[in-house]
Parts: sequence; C-alpha cells; structure tokens
Amino acid sequence: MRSVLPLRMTSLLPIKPHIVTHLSDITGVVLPFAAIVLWSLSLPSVDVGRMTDLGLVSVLPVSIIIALVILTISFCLTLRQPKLRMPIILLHLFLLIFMLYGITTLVEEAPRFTAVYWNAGYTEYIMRTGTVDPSLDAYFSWPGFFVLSAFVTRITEYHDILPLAAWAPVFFNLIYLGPLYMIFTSATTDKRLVWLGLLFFYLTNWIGQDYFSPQGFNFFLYLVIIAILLKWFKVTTEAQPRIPGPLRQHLGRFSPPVQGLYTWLTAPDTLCTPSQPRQRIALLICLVFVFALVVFSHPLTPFFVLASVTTLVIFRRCTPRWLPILMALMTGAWIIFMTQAFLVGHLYFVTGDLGQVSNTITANVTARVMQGSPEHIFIVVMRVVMTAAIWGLAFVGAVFRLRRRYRDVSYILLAIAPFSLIVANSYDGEMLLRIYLFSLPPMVFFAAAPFYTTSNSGMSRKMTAAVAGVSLILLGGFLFTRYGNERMDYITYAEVDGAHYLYSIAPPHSLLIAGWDVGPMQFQDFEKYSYASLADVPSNAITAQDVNVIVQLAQSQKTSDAYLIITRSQKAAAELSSGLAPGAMDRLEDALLRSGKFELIYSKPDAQILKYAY
Amino acid sequence: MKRLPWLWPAIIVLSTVATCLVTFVITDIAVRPFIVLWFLFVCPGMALVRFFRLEELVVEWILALALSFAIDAIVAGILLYAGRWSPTGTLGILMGISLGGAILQIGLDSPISLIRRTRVSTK
Repeated sequence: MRSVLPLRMTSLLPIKPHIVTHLSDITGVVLPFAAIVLWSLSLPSVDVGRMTDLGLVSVLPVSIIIALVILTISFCLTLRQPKLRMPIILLHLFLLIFMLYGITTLVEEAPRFTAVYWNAGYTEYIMRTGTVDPSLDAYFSWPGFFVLSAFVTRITEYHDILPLAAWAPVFFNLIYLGPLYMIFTSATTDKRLVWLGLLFFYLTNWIGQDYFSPQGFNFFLYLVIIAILLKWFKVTTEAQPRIPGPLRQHLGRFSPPVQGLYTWLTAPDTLCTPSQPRQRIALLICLVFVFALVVFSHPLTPFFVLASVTTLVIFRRCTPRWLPILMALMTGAWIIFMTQAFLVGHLYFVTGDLGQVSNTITANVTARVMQGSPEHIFIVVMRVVMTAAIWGLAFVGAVFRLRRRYRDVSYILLAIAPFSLIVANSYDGEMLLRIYLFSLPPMVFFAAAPFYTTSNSGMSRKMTAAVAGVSLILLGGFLFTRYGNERMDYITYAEVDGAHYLYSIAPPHSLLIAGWDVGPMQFQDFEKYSYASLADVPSNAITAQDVNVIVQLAQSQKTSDAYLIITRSQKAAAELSSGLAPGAMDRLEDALLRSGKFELIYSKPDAQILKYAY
Repeated sequence: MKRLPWLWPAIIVLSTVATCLVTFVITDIAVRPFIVLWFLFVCPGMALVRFFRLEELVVEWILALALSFAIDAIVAGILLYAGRWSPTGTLGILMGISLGGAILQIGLDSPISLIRRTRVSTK
C-alpha cells in the first residue's frame, strides 16, 4: 500500500504505512469536524441587516470562510489517499451541503425567497379547498408538487408548509447526491473523478432553483430517470447494430474526420450494469411512473427529460427506442387534456418565443447585466464568468478524455441536449438558468476529468494543489453567485407579520399592491385578492414621487379596497434590481401620505401598510 | 454485503404501524413529523423496489425515494381529481401499499418459498 508521505520521508521515519493511513483517516475526520465547529461558532456574528448589494458574502465573518476553506482542502486531501474511505468522503459532502445550503436558514429569520411564499400559497389553497383551479394560476395545471406538499403538510399537522420549506435547499441537494453518484459511476470506475465531480457540482450549483419549488423537486426526478437509463439501459457492445454495408460505403466517401466522428458517436459504452429481463421491465415501469409525476408537476421539466432521452436514443446510447415516443405522448396528453384552462389565455406565452433565440438570450443575460446597482451588476457579471469558467473547464476535460480514447458520447450528449430548449421559450427570462442546471451534472464531471486521467493520477502534490486551487476558486465564486441577491431575498419576521396583518384586515376582492415584486405575499387566500406591484410602474414615476401614477394603479382593478404594503425586502429589490436610489421608496411613501389619498394603517421597522382612501 | 431478507419488510411494517399510531392514536407527540416523513418518503417505494433485487443498497435507496414521491403524489392527485381529497384516506392507501409489499416480500423470502424455488430450479 502506498503511503501519502514521500518515499524519502517514510524511509527515514520508523512509521509503518498502515499507521500513516490511520493518521490520514483521523485527519480526514478531525478537519471536517473542526470546520463545522468553527462555522457553527461563527454563525451568531453574522448580521444580515448590514448586508450590501454584494449579498451574503458582505456580512460573512472571515472565520466562516476559513471553515469552508478547511473543509474544501480536507476533501481534496482525502481524495489524495491511496485507499478512498467512502464514509469520510460522504461526511465531507454532507457537511459541505449543510454549510453551503443551510447557512441562510440558520442566520436569517423567516424562510428566504419570494417564490417560496407563492408556492406556500398554492399549497395552502389545496389544503383549504381540496381542489385545484387552473383558471387561477398556471401552476394549478401542473399541481403534482403542490398536491404532495399539501398532503404532507396536512398529515404532519403543520399549520403551513413554511417550516419545512425553509430546509428545502439542504434536503434537495442531499437527495441529488444519490442519482448524481449513479450517473458518474456509470461513466467511470475512477472513484476520485466521481467524488471530485460531486464536489464541483455543489460548488457550482449557484443557480438557486433548489428552494421549495416544483423545479427543485423535479430536478431530482430528472436525475433519477437519467441515472436509470445510464446504469441499466445503455446499448452494449453486443447489442450495438453494425453499420450496414451500403452505409459503410456511403461513409467511405466522407473525409476521415467525418468517418471518425461517426465511429466515435456510435461506439458502444463500455461500462454497463448487467440486469435480468425482469429487472429491466420493473425498472422501466419505475421510470415511467417517475416520469408521470414529472409530467404532472412541472411545465418545463418534461421537455428537458424528453430532450435528453430523445438525444440518447437517437444516437443509440440507450434503449428502449419507444421511450421518447411514450414520454412525448404522456406529455402531450397532459397538456391537451389537463391544461386547457391555462392554454386558452396563454398560448402566446408558450409559443411566442419559438425560434427567437436572440430574444431568449436578451431576456436571460443582457437584461440582467444592464440593470441594478454597481455591486449587483458585479454579481451578475460574476455569474456569467463562473458559468463560462465551468463550461470552459468541462470542454478541456472532455477533450482530455477524448484524447485518451474514453467513450463519453452519452455524457457529452447530455451536456448539450438541454441547450436545444433555448429555441423554444425564454421562460420569463429564466431559460438559460434552467439550461445551466440541467447541463450541470455532465459539465462538472468533465470539469473534474483533467485532474484524474488514470486511476491513481491526481495523487501527486502538484495535482492535489491544482485540485484544491480550482475547488477554492469555485467556492469563492459560489459565495458571490449563489447569495449575491440575498439583500432582497432574505425576509424578516417583521415583514411576515406585516403581511399577516394585511391579510387579517383586507376584505376579500381587495387589491394588494406590493412595494416591489418580492416579499412574503400570496401565501394564503391568494384567490381572494387581486395583486399588483410598484415594479410595474415606471421607475422615474417613483423617483419623481408621482402620486397620480400610484393612484391610477390603485384604481386600475376597480376593487372596493386597495392596500399598499412596503417591506424591507421590497425596498432592497427596488434598489438592487432597478437601480433606484437608496431611500426612493421611503420618499414615495412620504409623498403618498402627504397627498391625503393614502392612510398609514400599519407601521413597523420592516413593513408599512397604506390604505388607499377612495 | 450480506442481504438480510427480513430486515426491510420488518422496518416497513414497523414504520407503518408507528405512522398509524402517531396519526390516529397518540397524535400529540413531538416526533410525529419525523416518523410520518420517514414513512411517506421511504416506505411505499422501498416496499416495491425490493422486488427488483438490485443488490445495491445506494441504488435501492435512490429508487425507493423517487418511487415513494411518485406514489404519494399520484395517489393524492387521483383522489383530488376524483373530488375526494382526503389526506388520511391517501395515507391509508399508502399504508396498504407498504404493508402489502412488505408482506409479499416476507412471503417470497420465507424458508418455505425458498425451498420451493430451489426445488423448481433443481427440476
């Protein structure tokens, strides 16, 4: 057994190799525990109230960053051991997930992120009424996730889903671990590459779709479907059809690179898990059942599954051939029979961007980069840079493995397939974010590949230093990219109390105007109210304190009552995302009160409610 | 790792009984969410995945989790669309699926069935 110490050292010291291994194991446990203790002790000194537009990183004490650095370096050192200890590596990954994705739940007050409250509202509607109403909201046409949430909340006897929702990022990232491990181990037998790929996944999953949401849940189901196909349904060497004679002659006319590409594309996978026909049938039934839940619970994920599965089948990477057809039929049937109420009024939303790639890129990237405060623009640029970095590293890794004759066609196709959806829809400016997420597993696998090209490569000091260096860069990038919007994403108890007060006094059918399109809204009785937001008003009207524009908004829905709620997170969002000057919302509030057309009915440091006097 | 054929059926049966107790009998108990969540997220799927005989613990866990989510949501969804939304009714159906799967596993792995299968394969 090789020792981690250089040969010269081990020959000088009277230490036996197994003692060195035990010492390494002890270090592999002590360092992560030291990191979690340091991290836990440092949490009370995080003051989220002092956060700037750089996000959470602006209030993190150095000790928390040191703890994360210790854990990351310890993980890289663990990968350097001649014999990998799965429990020690898992300990590192569990702690990393907890520290990276659970920190906001521990240092902030109420569950973070506006969409969590909307999703809690859909759940509350089902809990209260026992039905769904597709005419109210698009998500009621794909209610699977909310039905499950409502059922779980009722049966655990929680008042609402929010106490559980706060831990969704940690829970989702933990359950992603299993199928990701299956996907990576179906690509390589080198466990170092598998574990480093997993580390890279958690250091680059800044996209933030793992909050309490259908898409965070459905990403797990997507990973499970892909993992089943790659593990048991790859086309083996024996099953791979030979190139027919006429086609071979036809190919002979092409240049050698084209012939090489075709041979590479159709070369069978070498790593396959043997299975009995009965097992394969059972696994297929399981896969179809899981896909049924995907179809039932999210409008977009079925298309990502379809894109990936169809690509794998077309390029003869997996069987059965009829699977994409069945999946397309299931998706089509659900859309035709169950989502009519949504489609009637929103067909343009579905088909409007078809083929408009430039529109999608503008909505997803350019519009985001150009708006907001300088710090926020820095965060957005960091996201673009970190995305380019991980994709670039993945490209290098793919070329590395290609030159070493690894047959990674399935994984390269899975990295590319999600991009096909860019022609379909801008998805309200979020399509590129989703594409990043769905292509991330193969991307991080290839990004890790240059470091572990053979079964014992990456164990040298230089390579370990390189692995640690890249991991630390990704960690640094993660802290900015993941929590860069935190000043507007975190929500205080006072804000939630303000929203509860509003729902307690506002009569049904009132218009509720939010100070901006964030904050704790719509989490209860959401079908009973109309909603609007000052984000829909031109920002110069807010800067100029134009009361008439706000009055027009209050009268626009012709409701009996109208209320304006302005909370801390809404003020932060107005400054962060639209570039409004600090204090602009406060000055508008003063102007509204001075006009006599609005009356202050609730005032706490983080939430004010104004009633429009008709 | 040696496969213990009685372990998972026993865990599923005990989990089902525990969930039944904390939901319908001793409802005011602090550990109720943990027991119920464990049951909902693991047991219905594990009751079926064990029939696949995959021999890999990690893989069984992953499929059990995904299948449990699917069974929970689809059963609850069918009742909802049928106009019979009932969390306790849904839980009852899930308990039935879990118990049925566990009992069938015990039956298939019992010494008598093992002897029968051995005889068939010898013939």
